[in-house]
Amino acid sequence: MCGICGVLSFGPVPDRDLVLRMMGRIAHRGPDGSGYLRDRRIALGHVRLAIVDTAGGAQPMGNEDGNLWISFNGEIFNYVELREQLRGLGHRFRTASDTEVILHAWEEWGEDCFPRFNGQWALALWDRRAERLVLSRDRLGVRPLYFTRTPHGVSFASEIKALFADPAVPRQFDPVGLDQTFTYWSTVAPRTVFAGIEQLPPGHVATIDRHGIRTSAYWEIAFPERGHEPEHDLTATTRQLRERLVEAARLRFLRSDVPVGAYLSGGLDSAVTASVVAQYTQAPLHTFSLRFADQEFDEGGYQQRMSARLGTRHEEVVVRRRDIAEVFPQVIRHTETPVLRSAPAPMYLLSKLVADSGYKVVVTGEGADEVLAGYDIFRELRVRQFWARDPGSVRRSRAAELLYPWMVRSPGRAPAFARSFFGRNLDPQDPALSHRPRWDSTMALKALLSADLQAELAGAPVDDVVAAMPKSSDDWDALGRAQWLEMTTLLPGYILSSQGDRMLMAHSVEGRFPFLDPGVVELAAGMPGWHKLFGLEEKYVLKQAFADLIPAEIIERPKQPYRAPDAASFLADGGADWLPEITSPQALRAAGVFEPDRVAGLLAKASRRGGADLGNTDNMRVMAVLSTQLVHAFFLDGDGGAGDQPPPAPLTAVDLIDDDGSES
Amino acid sequence: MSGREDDGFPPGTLQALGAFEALPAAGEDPELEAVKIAVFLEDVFGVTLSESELDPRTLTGRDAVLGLLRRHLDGH
Repeated sequence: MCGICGVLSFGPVPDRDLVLRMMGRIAHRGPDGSGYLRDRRIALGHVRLAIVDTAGGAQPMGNEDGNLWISFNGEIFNYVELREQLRGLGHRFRTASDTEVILHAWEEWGEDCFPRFNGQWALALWDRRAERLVLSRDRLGVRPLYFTRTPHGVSFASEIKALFADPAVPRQFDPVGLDQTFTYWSTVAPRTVFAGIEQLPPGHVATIDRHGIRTSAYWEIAFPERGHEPEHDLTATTRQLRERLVEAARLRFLRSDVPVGAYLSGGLDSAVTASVVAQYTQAPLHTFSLRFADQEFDEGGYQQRMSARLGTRHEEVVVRRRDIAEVFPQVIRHTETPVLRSAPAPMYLLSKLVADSGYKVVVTGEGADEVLAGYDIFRELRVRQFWARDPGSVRRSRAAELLYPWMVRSPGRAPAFARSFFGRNLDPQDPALSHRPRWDSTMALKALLSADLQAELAGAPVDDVVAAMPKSSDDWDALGRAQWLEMTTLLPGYILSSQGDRMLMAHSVEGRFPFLDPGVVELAAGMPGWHKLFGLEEKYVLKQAFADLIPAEIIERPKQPYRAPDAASFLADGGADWLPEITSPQALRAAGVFEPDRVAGLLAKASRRGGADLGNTDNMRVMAVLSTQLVHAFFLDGDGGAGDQPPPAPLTAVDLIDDDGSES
Repeated sequence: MSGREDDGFPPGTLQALGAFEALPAAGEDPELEAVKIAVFLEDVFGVTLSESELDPRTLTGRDAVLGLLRRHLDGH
């Protein structure tokens, strides 16, 4: 895992000092060394976290004739097989790295190389002869890649703070990006919360030359027409899922020249990945867990029992509310976007534990809930679908009581809650039937927005994710449409980014995600919906596939969504010491996002009980205000998210530009 | 779904029903249990039950459920 950056210019020779500053700003992504290539058109930077071919994989790396160069962040897990295939086609290799495999794969197949990769990547390929830059990002957006258009070309980087190393890059919020965040919980690629800063959408490739930027998809998530799935037999899909997940976990555990650890959350997904690694590899396993001092959020008992069952060396970090408050500003410096939950903060502390334990790589269960329908939002969809067939039916309305155990325990309260929340907008034709309650609930926080921003949004172009759904989605199972929405919005925009890559890489740790292996994703997408969501039983096929490896108490326990204390972390015991400054009327007016009086009212209400017993909407409001104000303080009002520091040593320079500016 | 099992049901019907029966019940409320079965049947088999069919008396027991399914899948 690494960080990449670069400046492409069809005007003046790219500024070496600028790319060095960019590299310094993402040094946390690659503390093991750095390098750059500069010719008259490009300065291509790289900071390295050495994991595969630690001795020979330095970057940027060129091909034999020096015409093609690459700066690459990520892993190609099937590089061994691809290398053999390419050798058979006459290619010769100088290193044992996956980076060199990409160079040869590009030479052999061009853009068609990307669908052949099983991996997680963001990369830049520079063809010197053609003066053409190619940017590519993995299928689901595990690795980040941002760019901004400049007067003479583009600048790109793994993180936005590197783009802000150039003082000429404008610094202002994008109102539509904020609007998306306050609706979908994240922006939707290519948008970010910063005007003029774009992200390459997952599964896309961008070609940039003198004629401009052309972006196209090399892969898209798709589901079969309902009733025409390739395999209906549950026994067969169960067996196939197990085979593919075992192989996906093995690849991600074994394809590394440094030790690989595993997260154990106490839930099913990480239990599966850790169990597979323990069962199917000979290597000793080191597991890491996150615990909470708040019993409401803690899953320590399940974690410890799973660790004991697998015989792992186990370490845990116990997070208190004040820990979350303390690290939250740094968390936002890494997320580079507002978040509506504090949940990334404990993940930041967990990756620190991993790094402090001497590990650079962890395998985790991320992606299982999206790929195999584990989230409550999918169960809620089934209930809403059922109810929407006759919205006036009292019997159908009772399906909402099946969603959560407390509803059954509190029958007096359940019907009223169900009707007001899950019963809203019951339009069976709505492609986003699954997501309306969440989006409606989130949008309630827009009442806090400043009058100016609201006016701007009223005149802004509609950027509706539902309108972007593929035409073929009309024929998918409704579960497929819900999964598409989740895998287009929250997965890349929050789970893999704010809660994933950014929290891991803040401490130079690479995450690997077997559930996001393309073979697993495509198999799961092709299954009938009921194999994944069986009635209201989530991830059914996964539970069947690993029933012999995972203890019944973990398979049968009610799903506990990963949450952390939100407002209470910042408002208890007098509040976080940084909070008054960023929520002052002056700071709020400077950011221009929220109405100061309304924020003052919200914080006064929330502070009365130290942030405890706050409703979901008010919790989100508090988190939106704090995180947005921190984004403003760091990136728009401050130093762009990072002060200048030198790139990590040793620095390998390939500078083809002489002091007089000519190319040597 | 194409083809029919020996007893006249589409492939996978008995497999799905058998697996569903193995899941824990919704609780002690028969009406809620009937709703749970109905959610499952409508999703897996693509049928829509009438209000009167969302009833514990109609949705209790394997034979009753199979009979109900047979009527819907045959278009009666």
